[in-house]
Amino acid sequence: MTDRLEAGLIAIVGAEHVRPGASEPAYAVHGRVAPLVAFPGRVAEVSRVLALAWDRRLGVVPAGQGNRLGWGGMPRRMDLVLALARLDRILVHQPADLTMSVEAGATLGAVNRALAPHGQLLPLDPARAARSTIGGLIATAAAGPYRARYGTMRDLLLGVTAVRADGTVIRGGGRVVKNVTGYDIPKLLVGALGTLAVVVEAHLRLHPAPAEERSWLYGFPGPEAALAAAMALADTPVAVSRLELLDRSTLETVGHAEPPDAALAVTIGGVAAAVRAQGERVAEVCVGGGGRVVTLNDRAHPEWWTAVSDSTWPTAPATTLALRIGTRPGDLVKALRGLDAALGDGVARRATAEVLNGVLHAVLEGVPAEATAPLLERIRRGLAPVEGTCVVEHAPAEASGALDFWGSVGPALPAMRRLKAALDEPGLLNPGRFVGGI
Amino acid sequence: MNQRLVDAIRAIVGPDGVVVAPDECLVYECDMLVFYKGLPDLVVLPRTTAEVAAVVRACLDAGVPIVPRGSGTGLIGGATAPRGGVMIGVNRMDRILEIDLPNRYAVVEPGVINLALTRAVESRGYFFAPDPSSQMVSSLGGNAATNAGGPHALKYGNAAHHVLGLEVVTGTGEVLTLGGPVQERPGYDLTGLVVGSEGTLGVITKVVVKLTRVAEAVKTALATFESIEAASAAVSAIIAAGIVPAALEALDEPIIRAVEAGVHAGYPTDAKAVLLIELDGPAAEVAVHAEAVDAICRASGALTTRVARDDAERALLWKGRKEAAGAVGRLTNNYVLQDAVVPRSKLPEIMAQIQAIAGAAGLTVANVFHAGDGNLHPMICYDERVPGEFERALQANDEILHACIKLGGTVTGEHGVGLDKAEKLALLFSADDLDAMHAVRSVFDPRGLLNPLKVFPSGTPAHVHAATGAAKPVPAGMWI
Repeated sequence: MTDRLEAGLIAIVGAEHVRPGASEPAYAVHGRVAPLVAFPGRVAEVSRVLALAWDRRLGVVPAGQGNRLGWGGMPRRMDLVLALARLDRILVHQPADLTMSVEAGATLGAVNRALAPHGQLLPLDPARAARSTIGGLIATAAAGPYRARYGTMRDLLLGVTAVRADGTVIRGGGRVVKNVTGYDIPKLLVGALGTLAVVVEAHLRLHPAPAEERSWLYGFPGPEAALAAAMALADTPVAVSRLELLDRSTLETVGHAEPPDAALAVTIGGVAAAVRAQGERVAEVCVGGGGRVVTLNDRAHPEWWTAVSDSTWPTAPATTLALRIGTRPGDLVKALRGLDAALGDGVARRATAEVLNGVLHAVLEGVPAEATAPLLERIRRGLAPVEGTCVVEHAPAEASGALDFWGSVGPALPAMRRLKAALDEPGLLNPGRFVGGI
Repeated sequence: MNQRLVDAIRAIVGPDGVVVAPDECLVYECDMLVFYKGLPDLVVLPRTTAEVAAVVRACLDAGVPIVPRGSGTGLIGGATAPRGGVMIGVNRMDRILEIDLPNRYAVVEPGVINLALTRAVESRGYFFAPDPSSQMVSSLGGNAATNAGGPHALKYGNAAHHVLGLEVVTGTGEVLTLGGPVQERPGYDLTGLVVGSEGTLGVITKVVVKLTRVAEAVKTALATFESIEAASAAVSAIIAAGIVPAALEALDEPIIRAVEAGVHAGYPTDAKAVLLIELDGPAAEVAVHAEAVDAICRASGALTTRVARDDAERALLWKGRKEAAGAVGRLTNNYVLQDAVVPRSKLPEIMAQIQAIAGAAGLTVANVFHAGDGNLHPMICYDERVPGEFERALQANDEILHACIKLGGTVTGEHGVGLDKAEKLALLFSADDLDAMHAVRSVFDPRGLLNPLKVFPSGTPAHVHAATGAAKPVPAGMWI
């Protein structure tokens, strides 16, 4: 059967663009490889590959570069990986409109390199930002500290071309910055893990790069004091670009010797005078809240921030559980303490939080595969009092097969299941990988 | 209407929650686009989610259409009942349920008026950012249902950017809680889907909204130009310079004259176009950007520029803008309105085309629009008493829409699709695109009883479905 499938795929994308899964380790999911990985180079090829898979009722795992294939459960079926890495062209950049259209396999790094000479940017800064594809960022809704100012892909995606499970090409949204024409299909695809349709082209809202950007780091005796200062700062008119809470372990990871127990990192972007004036206000609030300057960065340190985002990525994959926890901003430290209470001996915690958005990234190291599921269960129970959400971004491969990556999504799950069935009735796109086993 | 259904609904909401006499239903036969008439058989004014759910279920059992309605300030015939049925007015569900400033959100019932929410939090330095010009009367449920915009959508975005969660009663009679104050949550973004779905996926019974911190400083400036094309060129230049004002509005000569005759906002009546430019943010940044904007306007041929000296002058400049559409009643008996969008670099081009199209039709066009995001509102003036003028106006309106789409634009930027623009969706979307949307709808409204004939093209022009009014298509005192 695989031979006939291979022949069909070769007829569509060419022999050099169909590879055995075993030779493409980047496209393994929790250690499992698909028989074949197809690399279409055109939208029409994506459509034909999916139509072929539909006819044979094959389970398809869509992918970009494979960075975040660890997000989501073990696929129920994995007959084919549809890798969009070759579909990576920047189609149109309209600097005067602050918009850009790209193919889904274009990387964020390539997009921002193309934008830099125009003083514009696509302001997303998740872990592995430069290598992440636009399609992958849409599917996972991955975001980083910049969301304090710029929001997430949800706020930046104006329109899409996508291919449904049966190969039908559809469009939603548009290319203009303001549009309420028809259902918001782009929003439906953001964070849907490719389970409803495979995004092949994206129309994006850009932002002007700030004239100047500076960052400051304030140390605090503990996360409670750091959060209190962050909440106080949020109640002023200071317009932050990033407002990140970091724990001691994160500070060590990004290169600070003798770090405090917690810190707030603040970025302000804008015209020089406004950056300076607001920086003074940040200092007043932080120092008034018991903070002290750890290092005063004269400039923004892009590399430092890249290291902070990347600190949420596991370094020892076989023994790491990485979580993304959502709460109300004011509950972040309560969530952190609830998490700590669930950790047993030998587990090390590294955490950062996007305070304004109530997002806590926790990387737990020293978690053996067999201990993963019970630990996750204890953590989710511990978070119940703060009405938190708790999503697994990474778990040891051996533990991933049976793990609930998403946790409860509440009473809307039946509607989500019906939505999946309405758009992909046989359940071929990323089967079993999303919430509630969708 | 079947008497058993009337009795059942009366039993759910009590006698004071039902409007059934035809003359009393009459005020519900249209929204602010009074051209389309669709009289509901019954209007129900529930007070709770449970009542809404019970009414929806009773309607589903009887196979009767359900039309949700907020304040009725829509401009697209969305809150009309062209197939009759039951209209659910959410106006009595008007409580603010929770305000949480540290976590920056509020939970409201759908009938809460947009501006009432801002009034409740502004003394503490917060506001609800979406500001449709109708905000003193339009409801937050309606704002969410239509994904409403407003002048400040340029910087702050439409309602979708500010709705964190919803409670809806769907067309299966279920009560669904979607999203909520916790922003980071897995699963499909059903909140983002239902916002802007115009009552075709559910009746909104609760809205969780983001509250936004008021900026440190605000500056409002007025620049005058010798043509709307020149003003448009200035808009494109401001955006291209990497400055995104809080609002960037354009008004042309007919509008300026109408506004000055009524509101006396202080717009120079000898100008052919004005730009109303608002910058907000950190004081030092607003100061720098204000100088830059001033320089760009002058380089683009501005005749005069001035900055409002105080809050009173600023409020007056805005009053002129917000009441502009209503003031057009001074210019013309009737007009048709457009809400199309073009890429903002195409503004000078489209403004010239609009003038040419209107000129060829022998009609006057008045423009007041959200220039910064390319969202146009040309109003094509006509006199219904002159035979053929209305048809020419509709034709010109269509030509303008086609011109916008040809330039890479879209059908509606903020008003929505409703009854009025349903057929126009086919200009943008293929049958496959629309099939996907239908599939989505089938999940929430499998029987197609929620707000029928809205949003989706039926293949038949709207005026065939709905009675059309012989009266003025747009009343004075409307807001765009």
